[in-house]
Amino acid sequence: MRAVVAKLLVPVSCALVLWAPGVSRACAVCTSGTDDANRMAFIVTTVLLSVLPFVIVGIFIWWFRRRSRELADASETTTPGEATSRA
Amino acid sequence: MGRPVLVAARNGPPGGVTESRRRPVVPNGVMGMLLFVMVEVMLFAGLISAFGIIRASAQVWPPPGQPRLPIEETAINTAALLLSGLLLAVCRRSFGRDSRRAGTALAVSILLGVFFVVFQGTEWVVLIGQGLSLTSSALGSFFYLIIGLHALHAVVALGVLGDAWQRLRRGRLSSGQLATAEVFWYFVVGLWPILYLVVYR
Repeated sequence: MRAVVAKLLVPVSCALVLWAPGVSRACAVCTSGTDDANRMAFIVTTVLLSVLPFVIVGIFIWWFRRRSRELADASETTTPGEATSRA
Repeated sequence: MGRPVLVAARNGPPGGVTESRRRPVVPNGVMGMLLFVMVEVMLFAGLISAFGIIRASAQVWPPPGQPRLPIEETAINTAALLLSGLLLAVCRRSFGRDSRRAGTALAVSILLGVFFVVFQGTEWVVLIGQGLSLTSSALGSFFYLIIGLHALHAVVALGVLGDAWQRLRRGRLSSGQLATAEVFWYFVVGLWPILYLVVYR
């Protein structure tokens, strides 16, 4: 009996993982999974909200580094004598 | 902040870095505004996502008994706001070289922003008259929430731009202060076409 259960455990689990989401509703009070348009809206918004923070922070870091380099280069082009006289 | 300060230490006098050589990579005001804008982008992304799901779930859109949003009229408003953003860029280009031109560009930019807000207010009055309210349908709820929140940002940003214009007239506007106002206004301007396409379509 145990051997049969052990044998069936993996295929049954895989079948459940693949089949169950199609018939179940993740949230009982929302309208998810009703049709293709709705499902697609959930997918698109999930991707948008997942990716957007990384994109925003990534753009900010890229811009900040670029500006930092520009300022550093501009400072290096001024000679020490100039820098002292300006200071 | 960071590298430029180290560079200043290399080039500066042997005694150390004088305070006048410390140049932040980004002015404090701009940094604060950028952080605020990042948060606001996520807020609007959340609202747009919720709206997208509600819209995709609806069998009929706009909901029965609700008016169609005035997409054609709002296109004029969109053009006015985009032009306002363009004029702010003109102001930036003239800033420090031709203060009169910069002041005029900024003033017209503000006026176009005011036109945008007033036009939108008029549009709202008409829509309320046609039965679109916060509680009339999901469209009304999301429309007034998303577009209203954007309008609120526009009003506050106009206040910031107005303050910048006053300072410019008195010759007290620094580049960093203008940049802070620019970040806010470009956020308002840049966000609008997205909202227009998502909500009004």
